[in-house]
Amino acid sequence: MWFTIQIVGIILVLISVGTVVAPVGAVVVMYHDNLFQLVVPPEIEDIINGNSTLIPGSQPFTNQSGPSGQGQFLTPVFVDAQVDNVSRTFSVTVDFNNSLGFDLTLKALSAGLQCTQHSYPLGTVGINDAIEIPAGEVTRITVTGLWTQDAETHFVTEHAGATGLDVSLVNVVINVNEIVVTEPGPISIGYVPMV
Amino acid sequence: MQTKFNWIALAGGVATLLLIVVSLFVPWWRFTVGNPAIAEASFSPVNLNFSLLGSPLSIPLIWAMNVAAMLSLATGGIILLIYAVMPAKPYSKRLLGFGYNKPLFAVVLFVVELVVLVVFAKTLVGFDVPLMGAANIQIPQNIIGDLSIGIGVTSAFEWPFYFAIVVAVLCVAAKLYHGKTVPDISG
Repeated sequence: MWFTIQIVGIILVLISVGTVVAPVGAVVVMYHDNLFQLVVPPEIEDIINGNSTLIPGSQPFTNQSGPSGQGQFLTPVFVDAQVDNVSRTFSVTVDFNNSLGFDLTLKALSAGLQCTQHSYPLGTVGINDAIEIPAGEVTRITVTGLWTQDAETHFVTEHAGATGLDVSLVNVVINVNEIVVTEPGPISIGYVPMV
Repeated sequence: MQTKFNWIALAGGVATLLLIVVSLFVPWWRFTVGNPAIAEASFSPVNLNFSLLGSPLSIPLIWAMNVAAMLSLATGGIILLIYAVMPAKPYSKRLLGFGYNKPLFAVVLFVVELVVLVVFAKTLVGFDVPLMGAANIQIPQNIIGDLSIGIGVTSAFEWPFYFAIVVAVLCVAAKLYHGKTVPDISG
C-alpha cells in the first residue's frame, strides 16, 4: 500500500513538471537562435525598428526625447481652401492617406485658424459627422468654419490691399478610432485668397 | 446509504474540463484599444489572442505557457474525476491534492498577472491601464514630443472568469467534502 502511494505521488510530480517543462522547453529550443522573438513577435520588432508593414512610414523608436515611432498616417495633407466673403464661411480640404491595411473612422477633426504673420485668431474649422477612411485609400475631407467679424477687421486693417493672407492651423485635434491626437501647431496651410 | 463517489469532486472535475473548452473560445479578460478597436487582447490562462490593426500577433512564450496551463488544468480535471469515483483508496488523497487546486491556481495566477501587467504599464511607461471599464491613456511626452496623444481603451472581465471562480470554489469544496466522504464509505 505504501509503495502504491509513493508510485502515485511520483507519477503526479512527473505530470506536474512535464505539463510545464514540455511546452515551455519546446519553444525555448525552437527559438534558441533568437530568444528575443520568444517574447516579442516579429511584427512588434518591425515597429520598434521602424520598418513595419503594419504601420507604413513609422520611424524607429529611440530612447531620446522627441518625436519617434509615429506613423505618417496621422498627418493630414492640405489640398485647398475656399472663402465665401458673403456668408463669411470658409472651407479647408485635406487628404487623409490611410496607409494602414485597416479601416479608420475619423470621429472628430477641429482646429483653430490664425493669421500666420500676426498669430491673430481668424476662426475655427471642424467636421460635423464621423467619416470612414477605408484601408489603403486616400479620403478627401472638407472641413468648414466661420470667419469672425474680428478676423475681417484684422484683414482690412493689417492686410490692406492684399488679396489673401497666409493662414495656419493651431490646436489641431484629430480623433481617429478614439485615439485623440492634439497638435498645438501652428501648421502652415499657405496662402488663402480672400477676395 | 453509503456514498460511493465524491459528487462535488465529480462536478469539479467536469467543470474544470468544461472551463478549458470554454476558455479556448471565450476570454476571461478583454482589453480593447480604440473604438472601433485598432488593437485587442483577449486573455485567458489557456489562450491569448492579440491583434494589432487587424493582424493577429503570436508570442511563442505566452503560447507555451497557455499550453502548460491547459495541460495542467486538464490533468487536474481528469485526476479529480478519477479521485471522485474512488475517494476511499489509499492514494486518493494524493489524487485529490493534485487535482483540486489547479483551477484555484489558475484564477489566482491570472489575477496576479493582470495586476502585475497594470502595475508595470504604470511604472514603466506611465500608462493607466484599467482592469475594468473605460479609460483614456495619455502617451508620455518623452515618447511623442510636442504632440499630445490620448488613447481610449476599455477592458472587461468576461463570464468565463466568473465561471472559473465557481469552478475553483467547487474544487476546494470537494477537498473539504473529502473528510465527510471517506468515513461514509468506510463506515
